[in-house]
Amino acid sequence: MTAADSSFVPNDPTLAPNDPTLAPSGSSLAPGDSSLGPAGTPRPGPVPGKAPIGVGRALVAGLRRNRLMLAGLVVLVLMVGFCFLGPVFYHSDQTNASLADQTLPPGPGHPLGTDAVGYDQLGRLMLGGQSAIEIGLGAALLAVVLGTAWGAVAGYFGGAVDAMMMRVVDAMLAIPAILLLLVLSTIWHPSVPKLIVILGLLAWLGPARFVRGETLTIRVRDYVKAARLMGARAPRIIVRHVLPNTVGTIMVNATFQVADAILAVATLSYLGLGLPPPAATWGGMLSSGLDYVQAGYWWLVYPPGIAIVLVVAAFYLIGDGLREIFDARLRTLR
Amino acid sequence: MAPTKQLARRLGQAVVVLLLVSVIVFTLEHLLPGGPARAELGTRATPSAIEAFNRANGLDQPIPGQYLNWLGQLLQGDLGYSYQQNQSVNALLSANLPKTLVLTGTALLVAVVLAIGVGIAQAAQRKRPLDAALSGLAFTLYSMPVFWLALLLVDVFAVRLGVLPAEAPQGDLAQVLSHPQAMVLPVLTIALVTLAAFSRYIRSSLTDELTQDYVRAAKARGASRSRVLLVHALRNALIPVVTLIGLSLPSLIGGAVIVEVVFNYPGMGLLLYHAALSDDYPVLLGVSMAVATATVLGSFLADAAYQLVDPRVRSGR
Repeated sequence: MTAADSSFVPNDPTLAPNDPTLAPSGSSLAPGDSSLGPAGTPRPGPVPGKAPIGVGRALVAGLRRNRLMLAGLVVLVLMVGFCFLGPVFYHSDQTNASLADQTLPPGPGHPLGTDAVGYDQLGRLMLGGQSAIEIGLGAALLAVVLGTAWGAVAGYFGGAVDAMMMRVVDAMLAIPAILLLLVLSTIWHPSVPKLIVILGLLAWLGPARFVRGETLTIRVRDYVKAARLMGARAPRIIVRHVLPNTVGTIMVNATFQVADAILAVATLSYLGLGLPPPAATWGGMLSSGLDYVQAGYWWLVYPPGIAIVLVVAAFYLIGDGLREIFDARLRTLR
Repeated sequence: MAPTKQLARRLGQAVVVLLLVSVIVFTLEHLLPGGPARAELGTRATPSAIEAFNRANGLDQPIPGQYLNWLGQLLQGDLGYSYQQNQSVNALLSANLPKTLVLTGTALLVAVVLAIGVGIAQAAQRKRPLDAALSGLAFTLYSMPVFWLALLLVDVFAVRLGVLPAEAPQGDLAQVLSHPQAMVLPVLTIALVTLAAFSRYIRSSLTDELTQDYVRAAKARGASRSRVLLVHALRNALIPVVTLIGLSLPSLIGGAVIVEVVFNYPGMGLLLYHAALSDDYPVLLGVSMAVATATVLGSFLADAAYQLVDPRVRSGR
């Protein structure tokens, strides 16, 4: 967890939908789901026995097959374009509050209205998206790098080292995520890099578990034994032989991590622990819109929420698609 | 490894994890700036007053000594005394825990029942419009920030339709229970988010079971479609649900922080939130340890239950 442990499940790394221990193979939501075909139907994709195809070609082939993943990718590209290129074409003043224009309904000059201090809502939506996407990507990268290193070392050495390292992971998973978030964001006054560190420090536990699990199975393979007999040392074996074989797990997990981090940072902003004003954040916009639910100012309540759902869902769809691709690829490798 | 021996080992691990948790939690809380004396006595307190407060609460001792003191009391079941609320932490926990259990327990029950229903409907209608629609709905719910979902429900049911109150019931357990209407929205919020995650697992595990040989054998013997689905496949498909419920134990105890904050529901989550904002160390430590214990216990119980319900695990495959 996540992070925001506001339900029983979301953001909890132990229970994320990409958890291989829980989900039966290919737990996908896609109606056009290729991995769940009825028994006996040959799966589309690479035929066992053929040479394994590369990651790049597998991605292209997977995208062609999985239309939901393609949809996720298209939505993501559109949202990134909206947030990062939008301000180039659509100018709005997001530094000087204009109290005369507060809570204007959508109309000429302000396509999505204005907020409680007169900022243009559409322009603010773009800026808020920038920080959300930056933090999401940064936190996911940090979490995956940390978690992968931790998990690979624990899994490779095994025994007492593994036991100690994994108990630390268990312990951190047991502590309410909200406590870690609250304490860390109280100690450090949030900025984009600090939020990346805070969320990354919380989210590395999931990838650590996954990568450790994979490493346990990889380290007993013949090619690892061969490398060891040829005199390769642990760091070389881990970097050259173990990690390349966990790349599927890592990429799938990283994608889900971005989505989780975007949700978590929105929740932090809602709790008042996100980027301080006047920085624009989707969570902060929603949080201030909360005061106007009763007044019926829908433009303050819906657009930021919809933007979050679009980006998060896009990453989840891409992650689901990636999992299918790597599952298929692993099958041919065996 | 023999099952009992394995469970004994897991129990040993659980103890180590809890010790580690206590060290981490204790360290974290003491990283908070300001310190409890400032929070309690205000910004205008004199240095001597702060010194007296620290001495009275043992805060002038070295940190390792404070930790050992706290751990010793913890093992005796004494969680200390709240700096802010003039009550012992034990009293606060026993006042808030039942209320949170009512909230999260009801939500979990609703979610599990609905998720099984949705999962069955989806597996029966696999790759038809209903399956796609339900999947899409679950997916959207899963992608929503929880506080926004709560906000939308308030907007629709409390503001526009005016049929349900927007704030959770206040007061003690009896008062909370006497306003079931006010419980609907908080319970619904938690249930919907939980449902979104659970139904994914049930759908995919049910779909997986439907491809197994024993299902084909049952069909060959002439069992009806619904009998195969509801009697043969469902039993096995529900095994992962045991794990899901076990892993939900921490949230059952810890409460849903966000939902409790949104609806101002006086449970464990709100207690934790307020304690963190007001540097109330003893409460923070107490709630965190309670939730962590529940987490460790929950995953241990899930493992044990798994062995009970799945003979393949019991026999060590």
